[in-house]
Amino acid sequence: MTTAHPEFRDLVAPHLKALFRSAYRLTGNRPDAEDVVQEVCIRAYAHLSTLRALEQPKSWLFKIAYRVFVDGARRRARSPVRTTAEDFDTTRSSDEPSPDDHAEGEIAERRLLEALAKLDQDQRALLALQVEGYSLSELQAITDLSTDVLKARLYRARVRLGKLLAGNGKAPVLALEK
Amino acid sequence: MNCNDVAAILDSNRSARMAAGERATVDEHLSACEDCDAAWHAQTELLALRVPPMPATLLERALLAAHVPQRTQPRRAWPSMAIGAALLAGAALAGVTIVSLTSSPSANVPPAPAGEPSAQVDEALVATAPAATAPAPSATPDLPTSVELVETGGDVIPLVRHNPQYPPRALEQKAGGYVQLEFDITTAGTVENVRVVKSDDAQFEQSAFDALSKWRYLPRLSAGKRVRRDGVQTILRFVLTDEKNPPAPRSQAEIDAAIRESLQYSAGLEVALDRLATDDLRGVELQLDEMQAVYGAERLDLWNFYGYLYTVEGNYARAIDAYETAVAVAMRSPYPTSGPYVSLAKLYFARHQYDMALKTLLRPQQAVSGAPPGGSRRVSDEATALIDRLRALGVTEETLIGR
Repeated sequence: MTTAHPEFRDLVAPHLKALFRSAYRLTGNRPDAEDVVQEVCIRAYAHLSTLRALEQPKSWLFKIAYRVFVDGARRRARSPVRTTAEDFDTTRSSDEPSPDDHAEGEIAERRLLEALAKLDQDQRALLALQVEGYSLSELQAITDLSTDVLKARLYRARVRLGKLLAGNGKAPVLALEK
Repeated sequence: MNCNDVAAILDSNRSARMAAGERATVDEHLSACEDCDAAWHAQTELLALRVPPMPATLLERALLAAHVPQRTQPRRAWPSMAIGAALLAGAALAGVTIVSLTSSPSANVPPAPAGEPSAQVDEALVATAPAATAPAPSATPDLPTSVELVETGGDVIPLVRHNPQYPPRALEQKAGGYVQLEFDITTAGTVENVRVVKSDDAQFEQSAFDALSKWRYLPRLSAGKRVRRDGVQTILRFVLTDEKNPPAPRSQAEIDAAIRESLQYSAGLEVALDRLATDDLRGVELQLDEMQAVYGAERLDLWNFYGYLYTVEGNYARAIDAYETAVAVAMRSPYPTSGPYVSLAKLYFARHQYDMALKTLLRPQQAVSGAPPGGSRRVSDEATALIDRLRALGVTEETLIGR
């Protein structure tokens, strides 16, 4: 067989959809979301015995996803090729129906994804996990942050995102980026 | 109500389900506090974001990726250890590339497993039934025939196949034969201009012609665009099962169920092909996801189609993943196929991963070399051309060994 241990499948499969949802919110497009999920599986498989012993494999998997994303973001930051809003649009348009299909919802989502892309990776990761339905204590376990820091970062991330959304495309936002 | 209260509501995901009274106090605060208003708005938008459904292939790809030891090219490379193991597993397969004209009498080819009739079988024999007990052809047109398909181009594999009707008179005479046909594949993957090149018994020609006219192919890709492919040749061989060695008998109910599933499966692929013809790539993927949910992850056709789709989209990393899975499935299959090797090799080539391209092209040959002597093999023209181009770049079997 060329695929992973059946036990690993049983442990991981129930959480894959939630992982994918978070990964999509983290990355904003499907190919990158799939990469994150695959990377999580690769890292988790290397620690099958740990995974097996866990009562809550889900949090652990999300902890890996969080790290994968933040590490990936650091790698991208070092790379000379920066992901820009333009790249982002291209990736997305190949995956999704064109804006004409359901114009309004699509444009709102695009605006949101563009705004998310402008957040710090850390902020973005927190929001992506939080809207997946994690409680503060679960988020603490995933991120190793204290409750106070976590609360403050979540709030700041939302405020920043909300302001990016409100001023999307206007000069002040660009100024903020530089 | 203050900023901390608002934050607590957002942190606990209660913003969408609050009593009217509490909501009013929140609104009051939001109208006075710019930050909280922004935060609230952001959370609302985030919760409303539609996430596309997870591709059904992702689990399989992730499991595959997890299992393959990682090297410099995470996830996408197929390290040599894994190739060795896969080849050992596939060594029992004969003639992985292409079934030759003269080889494999039907009795040597395993019958299709129950419930998996023609749809999954490439270049091999379609499910057979012994001639002596064959029901009237009109009642079960799919079963009495077995059709050996010999292709001439590299990755020209029919996606939707309709079995020819075995001519009733030939059944009575217990006669077999072959028909060689030439045809064109349109940009929609349909078959046109079918003409008979030759046959050894004219009574099979009409039946072969009728069946082939309904087949569907994945259209040829050239520079990312679907183009016509003219002058494709194929041979349909009409074989009656060896009566001394009949396949396991199947009840009429089993046969009916198998035919029904086969027809549904073909219809599903035709839907995907029709969407492809109208450039509805998202629709194609949804259809494939749906089919994979129904038919499982061992369908070579589906993996090939995913690979093709991602190639059309220009998403080569995804395409390579899909074709790698297709190769893995092909290796496990009891039916020889040239299926995904050439497509996969071309992708590696396009990404300048020349070593991987050559390794991919050599995989079916290496598998064949472990087969009994006399087993025929042919490397497709496209594979040969690609190997030549790699040689011109200085990538040969010898340089592979040294690395």
